[in-house]
Amino acid sequence: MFDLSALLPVLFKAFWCGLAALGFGMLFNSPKRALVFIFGGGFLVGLVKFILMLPSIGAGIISASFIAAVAVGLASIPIAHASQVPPVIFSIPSVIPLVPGVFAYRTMMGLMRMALPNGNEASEKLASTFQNGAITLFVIMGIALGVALPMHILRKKTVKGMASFRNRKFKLQ
Amino acid sequence: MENKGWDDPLILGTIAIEVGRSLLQSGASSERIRTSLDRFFKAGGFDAHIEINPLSVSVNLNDANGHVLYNGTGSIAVQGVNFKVLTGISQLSWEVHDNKVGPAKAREKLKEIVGEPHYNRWLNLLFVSLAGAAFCFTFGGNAIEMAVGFLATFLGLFCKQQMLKKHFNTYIITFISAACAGFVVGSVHFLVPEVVLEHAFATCVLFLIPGVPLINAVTDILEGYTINGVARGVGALVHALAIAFGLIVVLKIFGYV
Repeated sequence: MFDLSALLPVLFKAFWCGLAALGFGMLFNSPKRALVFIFGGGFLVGLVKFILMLPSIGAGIISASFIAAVAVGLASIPIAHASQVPPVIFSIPSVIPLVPGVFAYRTMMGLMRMALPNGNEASEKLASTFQNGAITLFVIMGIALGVALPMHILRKKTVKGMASFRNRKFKLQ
Repeated sequence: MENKGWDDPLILGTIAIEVGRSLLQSGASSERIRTSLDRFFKAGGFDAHIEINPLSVSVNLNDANGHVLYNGTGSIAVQGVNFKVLTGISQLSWEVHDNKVGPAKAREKLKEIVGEPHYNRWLNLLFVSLAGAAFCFTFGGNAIEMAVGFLATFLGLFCKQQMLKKHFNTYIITFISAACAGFVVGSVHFLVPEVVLEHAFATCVLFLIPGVPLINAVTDILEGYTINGVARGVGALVHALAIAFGLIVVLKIFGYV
């Protein structure tokens, strides 16, 4: 078991993730009744991501972000029913706190420094810039795929479609 | 009995075009536009065909023999984000689908949904700036960096709102807003050089990230709307480049690069 005292800062970070999601919910002009769920979604994202990234679990930022996005994607389905808003209105603002802003910034700074006259440290710069860029790219892809996947796999319409396909193909009924 | 009037192709077609335009303008994925419009077409009972492009929606209504009864296109200037419109139209489309609403009432409701006001400007500024400070914290910033991040986001978003009112080009808005936000952080660092502000600098522009187009790009591509997905992805990429370019200008001004 991991140290419970490590959870307190995680909760604190999750709270701020919730606030970040809430700000984006307002920026996207989400309906009022969705805002409390969006805060909860941001909190969930922060909780999942930072618990997975605790040293005792040791997940990387890419897998942690992906799993957090999947959690929001899953939560969006019951919440869409409960609050009568389409799932994307809850899920998109909720995953915004996962966007790897600092890595994107470091990638950009690295690219700019590579455009300047380089000395002996050129290969070192290249390696760190490339790594930051790869992290940024994979985290963003992970977020987008993670939040979209549950909706596609569990969506009612798709399941209905699968049932009629089976009926036709195997004549079950 | 309420579905009287939906069997007129002209009425159904014009409402459908308006719905499609509003959804496209508010950041709906292509599949969402199609499923919402399908609910309207169910009410009319035509053989309906829809084409969704990055900046336009076309609708064709045919009869059972394939004769064209209505065809029309609605176009928009630029894609934005407005989740209240998405929610409102989603509900309206179900009401039409369940025959609860006739065309005249639907048109009225659509007008209401599209005309619903945004959140108060200052409330928006406050909460988005809080979000900026929150980003700064989650990426490892301290209290000073959070305060600077709050201030930078506030001024950056303020600039963005002013430019939105004047209908500037969307990428130019992103570029100038990023430069404004970065300039605030740069100025603080210039005045008090001992504070380290890397996190504030990196997170003060996060209110500009094109989150909705990015996720819609992936969704559209997954659902087979490849061209729309690529168009949204490229749009998001250009926004990201505009943010980077805005920051570069500030870094050059203050001589950090």
